[in-house]
Amino acid sequence: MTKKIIFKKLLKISLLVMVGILANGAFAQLINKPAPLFSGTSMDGKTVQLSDYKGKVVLLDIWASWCGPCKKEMPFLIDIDKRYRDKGLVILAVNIDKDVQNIKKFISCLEVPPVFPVIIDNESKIPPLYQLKGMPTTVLIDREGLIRYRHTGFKDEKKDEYLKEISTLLGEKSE
Amino acid sequence: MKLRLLLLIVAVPILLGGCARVQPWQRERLADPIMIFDNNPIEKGIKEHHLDYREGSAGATGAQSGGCGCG
Repeated sequence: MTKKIIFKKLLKISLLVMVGILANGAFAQLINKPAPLFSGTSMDGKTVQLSDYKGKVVLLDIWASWCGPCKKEMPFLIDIDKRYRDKGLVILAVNIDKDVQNIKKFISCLEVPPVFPVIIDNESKIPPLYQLKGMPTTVLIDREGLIRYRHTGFKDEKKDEYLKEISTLLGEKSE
Repeated sequence: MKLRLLLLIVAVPILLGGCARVQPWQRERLADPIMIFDNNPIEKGIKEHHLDYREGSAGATGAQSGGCGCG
């Protein structure tokens, strides 16, 4: 009898934990919700505000020079910036390295340096706003300022998916 | 017995309070190559990459992915 009670209690606890985990996952998505606004200073000393880009499709990338996939993703971002900049895509790369020298060192190693703003967030104020689950996190924000897609990590196989999503958002008209 | 139970009730939350989730953006130090527990970090990185593709498992191993928990 006692065993039965213990089992029932354990079952209740595990159900509660499961509900908690699922709820956390659902809330963490932030999909179709307004992108949290932020401002920061780019590497060239300019102030960059997300609100300035309303009406444009924004690709927000949160990365660091100590993260392998982030380094792998950067040349791809530079390439899509070149291809879609004139079509209305804005790329904002938020870097969370503690030491700015590490960012400079990494960028100097790139074949083509990024033209888009690299925002320095060495106090990591922006990542919690976007409830990061891993690095890099790439968020696609539509012309209305809503988060439409988000990706954690980066793999070459995902490139087509990114391009498809960017094309979809660029094809939508602002109301 | 009661004292032991009381100690346990007090000690468990205190000890659990020491546990903290390291957020992805807080892993700069953990991502340092010196944190890789292997004689040959490069080989380990290749093995992890291989495993990642064959078994769909990735990240948080400390090898090459930098410990950022993202593969």
